[in-house]
Amino acid sequence: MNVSLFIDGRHIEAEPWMTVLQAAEYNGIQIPTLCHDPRLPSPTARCGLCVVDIGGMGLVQACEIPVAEGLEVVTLDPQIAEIRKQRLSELLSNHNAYCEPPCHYACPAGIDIPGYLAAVARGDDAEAVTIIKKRLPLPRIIGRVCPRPCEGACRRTQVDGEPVAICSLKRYASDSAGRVNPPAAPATGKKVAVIGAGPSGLTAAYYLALSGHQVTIFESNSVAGGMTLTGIPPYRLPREVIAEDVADILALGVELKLDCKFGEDIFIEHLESEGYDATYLAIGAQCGSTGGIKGVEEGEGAYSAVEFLRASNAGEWTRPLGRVVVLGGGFTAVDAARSSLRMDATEVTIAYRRTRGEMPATQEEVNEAEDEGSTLMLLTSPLSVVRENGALTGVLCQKMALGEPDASGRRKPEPIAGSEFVIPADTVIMALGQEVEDEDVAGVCELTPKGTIAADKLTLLTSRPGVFAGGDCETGPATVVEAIAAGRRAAVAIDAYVHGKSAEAACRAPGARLERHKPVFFDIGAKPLSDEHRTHMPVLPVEKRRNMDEVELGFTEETARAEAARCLQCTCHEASVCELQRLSIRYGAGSKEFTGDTGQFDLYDGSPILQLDRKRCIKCHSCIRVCEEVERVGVYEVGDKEYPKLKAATYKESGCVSCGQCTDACPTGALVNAQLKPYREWQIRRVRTTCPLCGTGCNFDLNVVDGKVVGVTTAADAPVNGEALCVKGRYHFDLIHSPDRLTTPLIRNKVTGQLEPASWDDALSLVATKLGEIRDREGTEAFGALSSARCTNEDNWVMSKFVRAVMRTNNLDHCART
Amino acid sequence: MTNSINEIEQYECLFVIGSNTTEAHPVIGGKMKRAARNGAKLIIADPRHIELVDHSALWLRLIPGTDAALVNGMMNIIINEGWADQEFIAKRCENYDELWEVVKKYTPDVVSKITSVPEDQLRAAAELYAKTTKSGIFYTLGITEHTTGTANVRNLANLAMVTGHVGVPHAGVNPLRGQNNVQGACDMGALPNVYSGYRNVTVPEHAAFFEDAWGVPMNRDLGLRIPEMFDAMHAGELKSMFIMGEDPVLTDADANHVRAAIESLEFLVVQDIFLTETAKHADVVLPAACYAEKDGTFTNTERRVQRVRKAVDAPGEARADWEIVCDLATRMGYPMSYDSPADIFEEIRRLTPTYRGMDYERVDACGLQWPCPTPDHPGTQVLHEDTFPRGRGQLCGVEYEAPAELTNADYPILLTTGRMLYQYNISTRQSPILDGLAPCEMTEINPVDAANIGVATGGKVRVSSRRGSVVTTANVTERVPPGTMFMTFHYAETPVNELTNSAFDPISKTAEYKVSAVKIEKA
Repeated sequence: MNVSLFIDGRHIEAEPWMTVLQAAEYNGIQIPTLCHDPRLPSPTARCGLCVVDIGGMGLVQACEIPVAEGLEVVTLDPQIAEIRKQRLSELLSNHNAYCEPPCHYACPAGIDIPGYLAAVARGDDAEAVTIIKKRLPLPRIIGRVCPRPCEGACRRTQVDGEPVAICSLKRYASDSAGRVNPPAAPATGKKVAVIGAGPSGLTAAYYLALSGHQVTIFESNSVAGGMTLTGIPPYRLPREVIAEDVADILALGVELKLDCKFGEDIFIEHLESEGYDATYLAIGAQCGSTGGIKGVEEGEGAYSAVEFLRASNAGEWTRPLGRVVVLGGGFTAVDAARSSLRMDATEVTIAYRRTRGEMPATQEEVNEAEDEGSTLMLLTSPLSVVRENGALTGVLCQKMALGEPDASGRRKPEPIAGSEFVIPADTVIMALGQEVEDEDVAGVCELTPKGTIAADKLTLLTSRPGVFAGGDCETGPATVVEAIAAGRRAAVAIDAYVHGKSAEAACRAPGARLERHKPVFFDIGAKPLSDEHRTHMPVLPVEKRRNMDEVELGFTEETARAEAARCLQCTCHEASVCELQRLSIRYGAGSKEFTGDTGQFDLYDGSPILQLDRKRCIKCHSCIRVCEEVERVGVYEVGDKEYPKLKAATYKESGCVSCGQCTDACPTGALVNAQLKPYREWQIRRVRTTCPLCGTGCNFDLNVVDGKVVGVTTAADAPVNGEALCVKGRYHFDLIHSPDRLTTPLIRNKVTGQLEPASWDDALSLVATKLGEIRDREGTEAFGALSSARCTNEDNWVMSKFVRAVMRTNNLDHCART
Repeated sequence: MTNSINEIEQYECLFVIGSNTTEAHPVIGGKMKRAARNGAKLIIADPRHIELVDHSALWLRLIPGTDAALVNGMMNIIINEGWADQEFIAKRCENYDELWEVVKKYTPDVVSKITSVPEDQLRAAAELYAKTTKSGIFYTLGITEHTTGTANVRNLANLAMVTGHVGVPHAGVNPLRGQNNVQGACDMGALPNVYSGYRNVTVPEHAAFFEDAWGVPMNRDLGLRIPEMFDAMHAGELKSMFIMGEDPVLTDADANHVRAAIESLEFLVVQDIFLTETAKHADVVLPAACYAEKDGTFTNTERRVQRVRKAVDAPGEARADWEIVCDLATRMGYPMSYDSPADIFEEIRRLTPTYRGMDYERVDACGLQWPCPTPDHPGTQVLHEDTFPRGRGQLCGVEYEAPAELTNADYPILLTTGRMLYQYNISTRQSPILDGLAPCEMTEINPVDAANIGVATGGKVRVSSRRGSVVTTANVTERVPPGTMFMTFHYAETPVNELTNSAFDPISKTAEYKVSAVKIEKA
């Protein structure tokens, strides 16, 4: 006999053995819980979240109350919500984990920053570089010149006011690891031309080469590096550092043609006729702007910063500088000022029309320029160059005041009437923006009214088929890291394009796109693993900065490891699927008061497949109960302070059968599948399939990231196995990408006796000829075939048909043990 | 399986014979353990102290290869005690008298001597199995990998029929298939005697049906089974071979015999995902996509047809097995062209009555269990509900026959082989994670036998049979009784089939992997 009751006014039926929680679940009504598992027979009421109001009983836990005829249950009202919020806050106060890293979201290239910082902290610099190079192939360069948006977002500032030195640790790892290139895919036979050996072009070349394409870079300069070379001075970015990053890329078989200017030495029509399957235009925006300042063209003495830096970086600047005024507030302006000081400038002034806080250059760079002797003149806007008899003598400026915020969100500077004044100068350097040299690309594809190349924002495809464009030439002048991001996206789009697939779909695929997954924040008290303060970069003493030697000296191994350990590792494999996170956001729970007992428990990570991190544990005991009651093994017991602990020192000694069901039962990221731990939910594409091991026919989801199977997860609706899987089903997946897989047909060489790679056409022609010849000579019974109990029904069907219809025999069997 | 996997947790009695379920079929083993938690009584018949023994009501520790005697003994007691389901026998079965003529000889004292299972345990097992309503039999290769494998299976069917434990939910005779698609490969007719749906090649109307469907004459003679193929190679009669996804050099009994046969071929093609031991002997090797790189279907042990879906691209130039075989057939003048695996499945459906009601759309979410004859048929959870395929169930007395090879003074130890939890046949050696968990063979040897040769756990042991010799590492344990040892067949470094006996069952041609006589020495 069923029992009928009311939940939130809805009349429902339940079976008499059910609790109110089970009855609600059975009827599709959700009551929050973190400790109830439908596979477990009895409730524990440990999480305290399933509190409901039952008429006549008051506030009770739904998992403890058996259903009864006519019960009236309220699952949510303000009082219940407040109780749940308090309970969740209590759980969070002892949950030292932060779900998702804001630095990752802030990084234009989408680098897994906590991942590489953890690698540096444990001393694995090569692994750190491997992680970085999944998104950015110029780690030595970017480790020096990135504007570091990540550090502005770093949650470590909550702890001690200073972010982790993320960028400098990238430099440390890449300087110390040496060349780290992943293996390239087998050659595809496709040819791609890249125009411009700047950061965007080099990046595209790197990822295209890894995909197996034959890449040629055409560069107008006599050295590769683009604006990193011509625009950034050697004391910030030594030339040999650029050369090392470039050499890593060329080591993948990329061809580099120098002194070859697009639009003069090489034309798009040549590339198309020479069989290039696609072209990536990454020519940059290398033409300095004069910003509309009058008098520039009327004589010597006024130069664009691009022009000045190109010559000075190359050691080719000869004109005496005298008193220098640099116009602008970005990196280029600061670089021009600092370079001038290293040459023969007698005074250097940086004139900028807003205030210090609005300068696009980082404060560190501005400070260095001041330390080295530059003067900063703020709220100062140039009007014209002042000349006497053609010779430059100064810059006429006016003072500004900040008004209302403009479109960029910064307060708009407005001129103060009558405030004009002259800064005396012999040389004026204008760092007021850059433009694309559009005559080079006119006629290749459409341009925007601003003179940049018009391209699809997602795929970077231009108006001309097979021609893609990205980086500064498409966006207008931007940062190196943004140019790199575009280069990677172009590589994804071009790879799809040359294979005749949709570039759009490829760019939208998880893993391929530059994930800009915005973290959901809520406040949780931060308890750092390390109490160290930020390590400051050692620098060359100011008095020694009269040459082009690198100013920042780099971290030592000791300081790098310590700095990397400051990272809070605000990252969790379970983020966005974690029940604790979901409910905490829903009920507005959490505070920055951390009261827990973090740090007292070791990580159980001796198993290659399971990892128990009790810092994240909320003591629901689901793992203990699932192991005991579902798998019937019982490797866990209740330990100190009610945390789960293993019955022996390791999983293996505790009798673990590695079924992994405890990881599924864990409502947080405390107990995770170690193989999947490096990946975030939003990176993963899941494909439901049937297990290829044993005849049970379990279903599971293959977890795919970047075209590789990285793990297996269960699915409650799997018809045979539900949430259960065995160690083999859950962890066999790495054989799919074994380096020992056969990738090409092999034919035995009659002379050497060795199996040698061959084409499909040759291999199948030989098989067809030999099988036909022997059948016709010896009769149908001289042939036999083994089909396979490992292959699909469709494979077996086709084999059966082949043997019977083509070979005309029934000599077909399969064996039971392969 | 006559019944289905999701029934297991509701059984009241499970008779598990020749199946180390928690290691070979862990998810089904888990269900059995939960059935025990729910109050079901487990009867485990196994020479080894497997994990299920710890969850069982009764452990029948029989001598390997004496299964037929054990089952006869149980039937003898059941019939004598009046626990047989005479109504079921009268209504659904035939040949009962002939069965009794055999079974009546297997009195408890006789059976106890053959099997070494005490009489009171035999009696308890017979009573528990027969008198419990929801009572079913589960078995694996411990039953079939004997020279008497087919007879053993028939005898389990006898036991189920005389107790009426068949044709209803929570009952039946349930083989747990070893491979993911051994059921499907058989269903598809990848066998020398039948077309798809088990239609015999020697029956003219079946041959005519496929001649009509495929447009060419069909060979109406039975083909060769695997051991017969090796013999035909040795005899110089079989000269060319195409092997798809199998590695007989490593997996078949008496490896030396197999290797010599393969080497005598004029032309060998091997199609696989790795360069297997067999592929190393091939003239042409063709690279195949693995299951994660193609679409298709597998049919599991409970006859459920389920989807396999492509998740990633195959490496390099590797192609799906079906694509390669179709390409070859077309090159040999018989065009075979399908747009997709769904297109092939359409042909399977059209030509196979048990699959006729299925298509990819219907099997998409949960699969379907055959027989599924029409597009609106829900699939079949329990077989033989009203009738058996041949009408009445044929009871058939099975005499106990000793294994083909017995121990003697020179080869005093009985070697039995099987699987372990962390490896799957020979394929998971390519998984670094799994191989790291169980990197080498740990041969189970009883402490008494270990003491005789002076070896401890971790020590090296040379195991020799009449056919070959292998050096392995000892795991000294009471899991095996004195005089019996256990090895797995997963490791190429310790190729156990150098030792096993290729003597095979006369009908299934399955070799006697489960019993060989060996000697052990400290190595």
